[in-house]
This record gives sequence, C-alpha cells and structure tokens, in this order.
Amino acid sequence: MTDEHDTPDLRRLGVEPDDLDGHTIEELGEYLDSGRMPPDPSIDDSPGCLLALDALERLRGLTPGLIAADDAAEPEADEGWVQKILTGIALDARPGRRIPIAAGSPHADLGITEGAVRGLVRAAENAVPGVLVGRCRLDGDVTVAGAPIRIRVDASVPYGQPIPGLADRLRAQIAVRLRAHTELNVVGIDITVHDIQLLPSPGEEGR
Amino acid sequence: MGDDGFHKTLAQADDRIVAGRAADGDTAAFAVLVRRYTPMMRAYARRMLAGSADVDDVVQDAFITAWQQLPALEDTAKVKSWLMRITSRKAVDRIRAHKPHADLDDVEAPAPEHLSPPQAAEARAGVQALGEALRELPGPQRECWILREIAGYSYEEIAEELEVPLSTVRGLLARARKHLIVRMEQWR
Amino acid sequence: MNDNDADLAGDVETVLRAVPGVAALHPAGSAASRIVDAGARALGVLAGDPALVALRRAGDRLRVEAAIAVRSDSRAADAARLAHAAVSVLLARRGEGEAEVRLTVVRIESATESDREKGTSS
Repeated sequence: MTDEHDTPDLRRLGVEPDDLDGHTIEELGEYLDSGRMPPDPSIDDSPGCLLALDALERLRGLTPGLIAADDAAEPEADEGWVQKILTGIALDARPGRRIPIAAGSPHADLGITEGAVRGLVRAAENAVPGVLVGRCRLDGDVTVAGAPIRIRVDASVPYGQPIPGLADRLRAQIAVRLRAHTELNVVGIDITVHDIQLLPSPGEEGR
Repeated sequence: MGDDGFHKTLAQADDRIVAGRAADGDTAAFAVLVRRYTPMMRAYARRMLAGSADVDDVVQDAFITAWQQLPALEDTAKVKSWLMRITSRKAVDRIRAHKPHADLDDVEAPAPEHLSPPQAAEARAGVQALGEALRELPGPQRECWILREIAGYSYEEIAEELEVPLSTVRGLLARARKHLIVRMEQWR
Repeated sequence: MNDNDADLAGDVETVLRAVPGVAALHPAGSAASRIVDAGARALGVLAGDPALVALRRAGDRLRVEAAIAVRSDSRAADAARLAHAAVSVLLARRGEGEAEVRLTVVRIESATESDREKGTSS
C-alpha cells in the first residue's frame, strides 16, 4: 500500500511494476483489451495504473489515424501496375464442374463448364441497366443430368427503382439465358440484393 | 448503358459484388480490387518490412495468392481484411526469408540518442510521432503490434502467424506497447 | 510425334471453327481436359503452344478433346451437338469412327462480343 500525495499533473508515466502498484504493462494492455472487465479495483484504484491505461488508450486512439495517413501516403495504383498483376495470375477462368449435355451417341462426351454458366448468368445484367451481378452459385449436383439446381446470385441495384421489380427482371433474364444454353433443371433462382448504388447522372443532384 | 458507364459502375460497386465476380473469374472485377486495395496493402507491407525495397514484391505475391484463393472466400464482403491477412503472411514470409534464424527472443529497443527538441516535438502530430516510434521497435515487437492493432489479429492468430508460443506474443506486445507509450509521452 | 495425328488435330480444329455457333477454340486444358494436364503433352501441337485440339491414343483407342466458346445467338447445347456431328463425320472419313470425342463449352459470348464479330467479319 502506498500513500501517494502526488497530484495527477505532477505524476510522470511509469511503465515498470514499481510504478504500477505491482501490475505490468502486459496486464494493463490485456485489461484494456477486455474493456476493463471484469473490473479490478487494484488497477482502477491505482493512480499509476490509470496513468498507464490512459497512455495505452491514447496510443490505441492514434492507430486509425496512422492507418489513414499511411494509406494516404501511398500513390494510387497506376495501370502499368494493374496490368503487371493481371499478367501474373493464371487466367484459368475458373471452369468449375462440368455440366453434361445430352449427346445421343456412345462416343460423344459433351458438356458445358460451370464457369461458362456463371458468365452467362452475369451477362443477364446487360439487359437490366444499372444492375450488377456479383457471385453466382449453382446449388445441386450439376454433373448429373436432370438434377434439380438452384441458382443463387448476389446483385447490386441502382438507387431509385423498386428492388423487387429489378430482381424479377434479372431473374427472368437469367432464366431465359439458362434455358437457351443449358439443359439444367433449374428449380429456382434466388437473387439477394446487398448493395444499392447511387449512380452518377448528369443533371441530377449528387448524393 | 454503354461500356464506359458499366465500368464506372463496377469500379464503384461494393466489395461483396466485386470480390464475388472476381471469385467467379471476372478479371475486370479483380482489376477493381487491385486498384482499390493496392495503396492499403503497400502501406501495410511498408510498415511490416520497415521500409525495405520488397514492398511491391510482397503486394504482387499477395494478389496472386488472392486470385487463387478467392473462390474459397465464403463472405466476399470481408475481402478487405482478407487481403490484409494475405499481405501479412507474405510480409512475414519475406522477413523470415531475409533472417532465417531470427531470434524472436527479444532485444530491447535501443534508447534514442537524443530527445527531440521541444519545438520540433510540439510541431509533430501524434500520428507522425507514432509512426516514427514504430520504426524504432525491433522487428518482432513491431510485427506483433502491427498484426494486433492494424490487422486485428487475435493473440492466437499472431502466435500462429509468427510461429511462436502465445506467451511470446504477449511479451512482445507488452514490450512494444511500453516503448510506444513512453515515446509518445516524451513527445507530448 | 505422329505427323498424321498432328494433321488430324489440325483438321478437327478447322472443322470446329466452321461450325455455326462456334465462336472460338480455347486451349483444351481449360476444360479440365482428361488428356492435357500438368506435365502431359498433347499430340498434334507445336512445342510450347497450348493444345487447341488434344489427341491421344491408348492402345487402339483414339480420344479427341476440344474446348469451345459459343456465340450468344446460338444455343450452346445445340452448338455442342452440331460440333460433335461435324467432328464425327471427319473422323469417320479418316477411319477413326470409334474415336471418343469430348467437347466442352467453356464460354458463351456476350451479345456485344458476338455483335462485334459480326461487324468486323468480311
């Protein structure tokens, strides 16, 4: 037990257990990490500890500013860099599973890749302006002819139009394309809208 | 909507949509991710590598791995922190490659030769001071602190990433914090 | 490398390109080919070029593989069947009527791509 008469202004920050009434910075850091819970009076009542906790909190408070400053100090990626990255990756276009196509001949093995179908589904967005298709998943065993398949699609839509209407239009476009190009037994097309985009438009107010 | 309008829309789309398309194989979408997150990844690598010349190599490696592993990312909305993690891994690999027998048992940070003169100290923003203090830390302490405070790793995840015991992580973090708060105090 | 097979692969390629609805050939390996995988070398191609039509003989069995992109204004399944029919005719003429033919659609062009092609075709 110490009998301190130091006022907070005169007290200097100490980081050794002697300054912290027997506690360590390690303990205080973890106390702070846990939101000072459960409350520990031996820390909460210790001026030395409180000083150190304040300092640790100030340090933590500076971190977002450091991250932002570091990011701002980096230049934007130039197109040369983007191309360098793209040429470095193996553009296998992610074939995925092979979906059978009926052939009617014993020596014929015909199929279409899941990747081709995903690209097809994505292309449906061209028919619904402003809509963007994200990830597309084919749920079910696509490798078995006739197996029931659900299509799951993430989409973002432009602000200002009713979402169900847009989703229905997209769904219809996807269905048409799937019927035209595949023999999948599509039992459902689930569209999940996560993002509403404000599209820039000349003559309209900015957001 | 012409092609240009579309590309503008894709560039503005949120992470979940862009990363979802890239996961499905859309290279234009992947290019959007590259443009969007290169500065963040470079900044992060630069802090981890303490200004070495390897920053662009690390970031390029990270993007190559990201392209390969994107299909396995369940929640594409989390692509930003996911990219940060890949960058961490590549940076740690790079650090270890340069110092294969790095002794993670700590070396105390060298005491600063002079304290900054009061006028300069006052002019310095806290953030700038923090940046400089970070650079003074020995590698293992700095890496630990960056993984925790910037990349948001848990203690266990740091232990896994750096391949050291949990107790070492705690010790490194405590030393880093000690040094940083003392330096920040000197500069107040 | 068998020159005859190299010629055959080239002829299969020509036949495929002529099928209405087929927009392009892609490297056979892009369809997760059973023949062309890491370390394997497909017959009928120059060293280093990605195989567009892959041929392999195992015993007396001939296997032919190709990956195609189809036009947006065709129906992919129909195009694949047409392509198979065309290749089968060619193979039968060469006395290879028993050959296994594996065709995979790896891409469906978007309408803009197909339109562009229409515009530039002479």
